[in-house]
Amino acid sequence: MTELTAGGVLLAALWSFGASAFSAFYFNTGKTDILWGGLIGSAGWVLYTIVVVKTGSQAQGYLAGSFAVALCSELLAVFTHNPATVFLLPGLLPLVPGGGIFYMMRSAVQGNLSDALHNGYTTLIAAGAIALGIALASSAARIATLLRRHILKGK
Amino acid sequence: MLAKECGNLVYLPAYMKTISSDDMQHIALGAGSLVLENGGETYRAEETVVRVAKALGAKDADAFVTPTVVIFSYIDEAGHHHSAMHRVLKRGTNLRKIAQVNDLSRRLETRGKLSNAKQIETIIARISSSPNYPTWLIVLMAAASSASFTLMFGGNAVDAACAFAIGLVLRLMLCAFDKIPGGLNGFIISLLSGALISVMADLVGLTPLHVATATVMIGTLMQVVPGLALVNAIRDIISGDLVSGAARLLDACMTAAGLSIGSVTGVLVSKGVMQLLRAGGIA
Repeated sequence: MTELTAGGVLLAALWSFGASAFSAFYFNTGKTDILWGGLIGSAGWVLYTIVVVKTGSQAQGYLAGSFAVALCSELLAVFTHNPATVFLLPGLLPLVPGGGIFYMMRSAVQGNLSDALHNGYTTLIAAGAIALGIALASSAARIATLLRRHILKGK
Repeated sequence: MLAKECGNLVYLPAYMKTISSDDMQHIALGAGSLVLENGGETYRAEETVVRVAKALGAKDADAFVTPTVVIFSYIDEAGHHHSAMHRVLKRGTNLRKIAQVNDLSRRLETRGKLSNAKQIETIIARISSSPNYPTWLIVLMAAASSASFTLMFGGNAVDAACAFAIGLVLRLMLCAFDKIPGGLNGFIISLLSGALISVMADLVGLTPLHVATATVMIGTLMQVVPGLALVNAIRDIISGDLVSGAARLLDACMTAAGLSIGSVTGVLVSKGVMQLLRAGGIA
């Protein structure tokens, strides 16, 4: 997608919802958690698309998308008393660079070294940005929990 | 009866405490390896082992977890040192089991030593054998997810229908491999998946439907590519679990290598078959 249109964003939201929610099924998630996983995955992918179109930087898109996904999972974890992983893994699926690592290995197997290096580099940047987004969100959640406990004790 | 039913755990008075050091070790290792086997993060598995052990009366507990092993050592109430190890051979993703173990460890934390070892072990056994969704539903949903990914990557309705069919066959094959006692080597499974996907995508490309073969292939591959494994590896490295992060990175690379070797072989085979057919004057 090179230009943002309302229809395009809506379709992206729909397909990524399907992708995350259907995948949550073979991760054997609970029935209501499937819906949440799909919604979070859809939100992350839409944010990624918008940021990539607006800034032209893939890494920023991955960072924003995974931060949003992880933050939503941490919030849901508090409200539903489930571990955040239950929402995080299906929500991340549209973002993860699975295709990149496959193309990297495929170029390497075919003896095309420069393609393999290029794909490997972009894949590593994408995975790093996603992991950084998750780490930021989970640290923020941890600090928020500590602050909340501190305030409750102070009262 | 002294025991008072509350949820699934039974409260017992302190003088009837039944958790021995051996039971505690067994329970903590069982809970930790359940988290690891079902796709939980390394730090989560370590936290679970330590939390359960401390709730059941260990004085000082430490756990070390890599993708293939759970090592656990602790000091019991009498001051004796113990350590135990559990080898993890099979890893998958089952989020329901992670949620159940999390729930169990939280309940143990609040009830602590007053629980009955037999019952906790029964709960762990029940979690580890808890049922999945029926196979036909999983196969159908996996196929639907392949179709969704294909649409997400810019395919049209025809591409999505092809991805649905290929994803269905792929998941059926994976479910059949799951039934093999002892399990098949993970590398061989990715090799066969890669070959199946590329041959079927080429077959679909031969039909006069004008299918975007590359889009169909990557949409179907999303079921098996190690994207999440790669991200989890980097997360482990960021959070300081260097050994398990490096191991997961290698795991992701090996899965991707298996898939790509399989798909390249698949392409060569289908090209060879085409040439033979042409030489025979059939196509």
